[in-house]
Amino acid sequence: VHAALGDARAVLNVGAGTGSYEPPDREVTAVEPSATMRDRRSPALPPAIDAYAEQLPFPDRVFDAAMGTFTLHQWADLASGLAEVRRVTRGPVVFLTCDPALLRTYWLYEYAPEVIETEASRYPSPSTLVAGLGGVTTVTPVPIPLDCTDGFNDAYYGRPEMLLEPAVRLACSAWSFVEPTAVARFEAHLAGDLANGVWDAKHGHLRNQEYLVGSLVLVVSMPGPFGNRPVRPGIVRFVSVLSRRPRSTPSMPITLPSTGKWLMKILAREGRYVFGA
Amino acid sequence: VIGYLGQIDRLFGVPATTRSWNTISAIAKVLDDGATSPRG
Repeated sequence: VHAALGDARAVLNVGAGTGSYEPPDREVTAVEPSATMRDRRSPALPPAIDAYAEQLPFPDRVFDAAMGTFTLHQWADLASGLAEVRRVTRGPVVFLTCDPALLRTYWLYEYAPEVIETEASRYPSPSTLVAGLGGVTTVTPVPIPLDCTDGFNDAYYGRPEMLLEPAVRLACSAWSFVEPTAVARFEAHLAGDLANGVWDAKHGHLRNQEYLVGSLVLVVSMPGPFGNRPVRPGIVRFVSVLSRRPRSTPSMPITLPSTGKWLMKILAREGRYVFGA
Repeated sequence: VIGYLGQIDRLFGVPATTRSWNTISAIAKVLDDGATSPRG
């Protein structure tokens, strides 16, 4: 997350919660709608602003970068929230989240399918995020370390006994959405398989596996060549490919004609690519 | 408008080829779908 933020100074943390993953070396503005979570933030962190991603109380392009960790699945209106985050951010938008399709590849699916299905139904797909964020967006798997201190389900891939602890499961909200009977069935099934060696026969190698590449992904979106400008009817965007390195590098934007109603704007250049409308 | 596209060659001092961004986006989407479809 921190590497993806680049050299950004002013960073927005959306759905900041208690401030986990929040970089201490940046000027962070935290947004968190839950009073309970805001109250649980460390005194060492800046206090969080009471606001929702869907309606951010900030001007356009005021932050160098934005981040969010395990928050997208809680948003009421994902498209509006992504558009808002993009609106207030000049540079990269970085989300640590889960790929719902990959959640079902985790061994926990054998024991608590209701929990995994609940999680899978709440997390947006990578393609939804790519479409919602626009620009140039990449989705990269994040290896989960064996001693991961965050309490999401995949973090216990090599420590299955931990998931038998109700207090541990409390850290992952999906468990609270399933029936108590499903949880009881899970406990009996996993406890039994741990006692009789079935779990270790199938998954025991995970106890010493340093990392798991599972459902955890990092979504990094850079603004496209057209920035945050919305698509408007009657406006055709274009890209020109220069045949070689430009001989001159005029400052941009360039409006043509230079006076009166514009017919063409040259907005930006990236290497041999020139973008305009 | 087409006439103004010629200004790009003059402004940057080298010949340029111009395409609609919609065309580029459509090609990128096809390539992206082709790259991800085997994963289902």
